[in-house]
Amino acid sequence: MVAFESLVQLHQQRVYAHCYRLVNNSAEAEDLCAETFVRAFQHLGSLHADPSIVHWLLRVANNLGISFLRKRTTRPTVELDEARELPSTTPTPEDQLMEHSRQEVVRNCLQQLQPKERTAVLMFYLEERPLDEIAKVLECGLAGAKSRVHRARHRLKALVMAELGEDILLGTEEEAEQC
Amino acid sequence: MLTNKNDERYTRDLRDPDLAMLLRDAYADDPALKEAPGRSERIMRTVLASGVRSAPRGFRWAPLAWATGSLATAAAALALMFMFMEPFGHHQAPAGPVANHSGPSIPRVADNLPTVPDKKNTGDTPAPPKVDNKQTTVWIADKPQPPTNQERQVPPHQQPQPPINDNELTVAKNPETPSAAPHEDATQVAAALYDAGSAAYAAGDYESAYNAYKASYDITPTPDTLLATGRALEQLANDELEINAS
Repeated sequence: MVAFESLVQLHQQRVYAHCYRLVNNSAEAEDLCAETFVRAFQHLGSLHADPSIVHWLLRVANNLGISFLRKRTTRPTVELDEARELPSTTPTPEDQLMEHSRQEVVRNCLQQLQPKERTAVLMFYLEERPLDEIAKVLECGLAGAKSRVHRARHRLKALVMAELGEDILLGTEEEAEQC
Repeated sequence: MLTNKNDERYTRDLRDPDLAMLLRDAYADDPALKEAPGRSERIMRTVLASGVRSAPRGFRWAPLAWATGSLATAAAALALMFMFMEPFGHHQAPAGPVANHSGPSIPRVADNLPTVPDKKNTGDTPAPPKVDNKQTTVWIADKPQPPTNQERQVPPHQQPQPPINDNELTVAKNPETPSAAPHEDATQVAAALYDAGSAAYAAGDYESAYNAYKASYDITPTPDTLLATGRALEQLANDELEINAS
């Protein structure tokens, strides 16, 4: 039990973040994270010898998240936490509001992707994970993972540009140059 | 073929710094993603409250089960393959007494017995000829004997048919029956694989769809399955072309 507790402490943050980005709700993400570790505890005997235990956890979390999203009949919601601290680089209230809404739009566009596409694009571009890890989580081959990332990228960019206009990606290029 | 597909060359086409920055900004400073104190304890309480018992670490049955399942699957696939292969299938007319009959069904031999007059039988209906017990007819693909001069002049369907042993006739009556049950099972398996491939195709997983369609075609080759296999492969190739072109 002590070993399992250390396993939880080691991986719970990453599993929770994965669930949160998938369902976009912190309470539901925590429930999914807990359910993932319940399954892990159930199969503890076979997991000990598995070197890629984190991949197994992410795969289970991904599948649980997809099942949850299928059951969820309401439209995807975005958590509006009023106590959120916005980046200090945007001083004016109008810029803060614009930045906040831009983040919400990007998240909404992400929610419009299929769950596996969302997982692929987040793991590749946000978490910067290698393709073989993405393939293990999505339970497909390397070619399938690459194809999924490619399709998801194009769909997401099309959705974001439709919502925010084509300037959004030009703006990010300028920020990158400044950095 | 790349030995390590994670290297730069394989993922170069997917690089998109703009999108990466956009996603980082979308989740930047999100308090929900920060380390929450007490979350590990909450998860542990949930695990303990669920009443789930940890599976004991004993003999690892999984590799044995996997190996047994794989062997059983391979044996079943080989059995199906041999059952439907042409040289050994029941559709091919075997050599022997009925080798001259065309088509898969074996007609009633009694109708084709030649009317050889018997010296002892003085009635109107001649008795059937005596079976030569020294003849041994086997139901294997023997090399066909060249026709005699007499046979060449007479068409095959008008040539007198040699007698057949009753035991062979019993076996030959219903050639379809022994293989009916496995044929139905194979068709169901192929149909299930086709459905799985269609579901994967609809979900956009063209690689899994291709594998499922191909397995279905290997069991029961049909034009629809071949077409579906080609379409899945075409989608996969299109994705690859798009990636290389971008």
